[in-house]
Amino acid sequence: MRIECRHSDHRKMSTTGRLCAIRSFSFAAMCFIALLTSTFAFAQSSAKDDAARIIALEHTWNRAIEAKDTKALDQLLAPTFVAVDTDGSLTRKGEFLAGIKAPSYQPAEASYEDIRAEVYGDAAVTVGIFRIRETQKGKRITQRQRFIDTWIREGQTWQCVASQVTLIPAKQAPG
Amino acid sequence: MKKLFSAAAAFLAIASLPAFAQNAANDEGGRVLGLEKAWNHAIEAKDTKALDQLLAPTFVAVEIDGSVASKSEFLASIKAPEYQPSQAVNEDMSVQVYGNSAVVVGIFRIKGMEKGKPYVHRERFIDTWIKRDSGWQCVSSAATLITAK
Repeated sequence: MRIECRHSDHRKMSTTGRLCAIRSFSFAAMCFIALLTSTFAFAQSSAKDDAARIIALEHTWNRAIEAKDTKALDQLLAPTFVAVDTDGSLTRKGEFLAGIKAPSYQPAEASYEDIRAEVYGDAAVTVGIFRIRETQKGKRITQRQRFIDTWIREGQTWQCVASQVTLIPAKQAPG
Repeated sequence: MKKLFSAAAAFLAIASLPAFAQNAANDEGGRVLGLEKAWNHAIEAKDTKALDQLLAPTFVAVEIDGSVASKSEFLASIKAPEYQPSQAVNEDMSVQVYGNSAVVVGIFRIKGMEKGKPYVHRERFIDTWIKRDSGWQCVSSAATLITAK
């Protein structure tokens, strides 16, 4: 769309010109607002898409834990990945994968009771409650853990760079 | 000769790019670690105004009991009269910068009084920081009590 303002008479310039200028300005302002609104809407829907993508990756992570599928986990975790376990110990990616692979670790069910994601451009943070039913060294346990995961986008791929879990005592209601 | 010089200059410029990026990441990492120290001082002084600057509006914290707190709940807990921290230090900290994001891992040692009882805690933490126009702000902080030997 194009708006043209032609002025043949210079004496009329002051009134017509001003009108034209106002029209042009109004049009430009409308375009600017439309652009701003659509940019905002695009950014919002893009952030929503990313949040949904990351939550799907979190569910993939659970399936990989249940299947002890360290190859799938290797794809989900960045090389710089760090994890803090419920006892406060710190593990790097290699140790974390080895822990999943260990024959003494027998997860039966890994699920989320609650999960939400906040996207910040190429970074995202997920917060939720992770429920794990497993056998560890012959003992059957069920734990509810509050977690925070940090995800980073490299190109088109999201990978988790940090994960921390804190045990929720059995008596505590989910907060 | 001129061509050779130009090629060498271009090569040097390209070769120095990763070093420049590395330095920039180091600078940003240093800045974030500085903010972590400022956070500790703000806790010791119960300075919620300073904390308000450090924490993003969407900030979320996971406490050592597994409870989750929003920014306002976190600030209210710092302000509470029964919370009397005397010393807050980080024993060990490392930072990894990913563009406009940074992840800090460390051990937070806090000494104080709560509900009339003295306590000393060592907590492993992971904080995630996001760089905005106004500077770095923390968007999430998780703490887990260290019980591992």
